[in-house]
Amino acid sequence: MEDAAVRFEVVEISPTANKFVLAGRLDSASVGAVETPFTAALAAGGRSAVLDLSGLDFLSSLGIRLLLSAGRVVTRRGGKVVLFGAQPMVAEVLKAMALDQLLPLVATEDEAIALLSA
Amino acid sequence: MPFFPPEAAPGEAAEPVFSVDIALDSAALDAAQDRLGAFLEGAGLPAPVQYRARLVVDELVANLMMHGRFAGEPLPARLTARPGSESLLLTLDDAAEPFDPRSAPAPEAPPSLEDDRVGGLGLALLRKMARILAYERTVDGWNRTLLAIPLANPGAK
Repeated sequence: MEDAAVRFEVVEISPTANKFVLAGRLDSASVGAVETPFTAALAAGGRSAVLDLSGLDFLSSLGIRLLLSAGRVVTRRGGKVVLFGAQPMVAEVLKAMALDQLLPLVATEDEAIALLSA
Repeated sequence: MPFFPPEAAPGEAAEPVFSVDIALDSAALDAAQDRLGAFLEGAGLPAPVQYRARLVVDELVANLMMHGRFAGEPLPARLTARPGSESLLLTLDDAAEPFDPRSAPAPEAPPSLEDDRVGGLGLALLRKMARILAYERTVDGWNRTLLAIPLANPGAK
């Protein structure tokens, strides 16, 4: 497993949607470092968001809580959040906690973007 | 400190054992998880088992850091990992007030976007990723939690 704290970057993909690329490990030691800037960036965008999880090596319950907050911030403003590209164990954790019932989880960026306009 | 289980079960070959003390701060937890990961990698355990082990340690120690109450200064927890023939056994010892992860409340329903509750997710996830085999209060007043992560089809339990 890669030894890297979590980091993220924001990419504008359309006038109404941003892509957030999450990479590294989203765990109890690292979540505090990104929680505020991540949520602020989601809120400032005022748009829907697709979250690229392909570089995310690890997700624990505090990371799930962060994704829940992200979903809450965006849906309150009328937007959508779609997750894509999760590695197998990250996907298993998301499914174990039924997060995929709240925030759709798909394989590719194209599928995620298609869901935003569905 | 007493050690549990005291020895390999009858008929089970002695396996390498890993043990580390974890001070209750994020840097120490991160370092301990890396050391555990290196041990499990060296022991040839599958990646999903390594992931689950890291997750179990993250949830239990984060819970201790956030909610553990100590009579004095928080003492480091001690993690022991013992790969067995069918499961990876993890033991966590801590000096906090009694906490039985088998009976502590955790949400049964999945989370929702409207619900701002902050508690219980970690325990719920822990119970899905590992089996809690035993909890006891030791004679020296520590919590001892024994967990198992199956080596094959770890998602089955």
